[in-house]
Amino acid sequence: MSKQQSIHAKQGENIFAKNPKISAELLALTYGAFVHKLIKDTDNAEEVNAILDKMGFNIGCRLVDEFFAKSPTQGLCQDLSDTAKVIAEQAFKMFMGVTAEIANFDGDNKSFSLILRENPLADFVVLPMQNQKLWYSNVVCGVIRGALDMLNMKVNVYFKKDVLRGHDCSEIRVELKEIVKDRYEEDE
Amino acid sequence: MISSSTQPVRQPQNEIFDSFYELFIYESIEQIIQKHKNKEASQISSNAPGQQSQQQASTVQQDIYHEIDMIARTLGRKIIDLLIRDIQYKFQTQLDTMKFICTEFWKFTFSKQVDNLRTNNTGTYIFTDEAFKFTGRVSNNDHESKEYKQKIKCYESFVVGLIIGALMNIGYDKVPIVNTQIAGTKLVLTVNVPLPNLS
Repeated sequence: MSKQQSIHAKQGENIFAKNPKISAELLALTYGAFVHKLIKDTDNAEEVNAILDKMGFNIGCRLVDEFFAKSPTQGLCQDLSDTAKVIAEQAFKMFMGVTAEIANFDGDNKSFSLILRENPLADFVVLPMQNQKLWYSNVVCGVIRGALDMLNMKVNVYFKKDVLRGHDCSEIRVELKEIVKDRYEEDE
Repeated sequence: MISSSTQPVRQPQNEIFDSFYELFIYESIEQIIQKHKNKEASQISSNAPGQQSQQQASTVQQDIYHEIDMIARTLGRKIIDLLIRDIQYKFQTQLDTMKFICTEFWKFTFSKQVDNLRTNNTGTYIFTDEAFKFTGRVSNNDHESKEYKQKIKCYESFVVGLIIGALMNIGYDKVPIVNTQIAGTKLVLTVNVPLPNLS
């Protein structure tokens, strides 16, 4: 069993065992209370999606620091598939308590899908009929976008499938737009 | 100190790092503040500028606190629902209830127990938490400034809402009066339970 695990998954679990934790149900409840309030306020699912994404972006910018602080051995990723593995197996395990599967790498290694079999954010949720346009866990997209943005990668992240909408699993699509090169300008 | 008696411990289920949660709370409060600020700005531009701005600003602040309070009440109610599903606990006296809040509820919500609980046995309870970590991410150069105090007040209304929601779900028909003060990382929470109506 342990031989089949990748190095990232093993590292993720090691780090996980060491640090203080809270119950994922608490996050689910808090998230639910907040999204509920947002929907009541705006009454427009698309707007809620945008707000959640923006919040996620802000969280992601800070969360990536937290990630590197807690896994100091993490080095540079060689390519996008490496990045995908770190996100799916380490970051998701640390901050969501589950691991994601990676699937559907496209031909030129520019985009991939993260498949969530279980989504702790949506533990107690049923999507009402009039809000079928809502991507309930859209904050996750924002977090991934924000975190990768801090690492100089411009990405497009969106939900493709969601269990709450009756699909068989939740699928997050990540598309790489460009890698921003660091530029250094010489002082006088 | 609170003695940890022999209550059955709730089995931890799916666990995550606390940082994501803390950041989420921070962002949601930030978002609510922003929303109200935007609303205020659009109102001012439509009205005649420069009138009653002082009064308006204070009502906007009140709206923000009220909204956070309401969200937190919902949350507190739900947390109690979840906790007493799994834990066998007998709420015999008022003190038992408060102890439950101090231990299980606080441990679930803030991942530690309350450091100190004092009571005068007539319905007033004072909780002290020496290391309250929610405000750790809020910082400002000047801790006496108005902005900082307003932001801390947001967190205070969040905690107050949580406790009120929890207590109401346990079965107090009258809303208990809860006050809290956060200074640095120290939190002092005062709960006044109104006496039951005997008539």
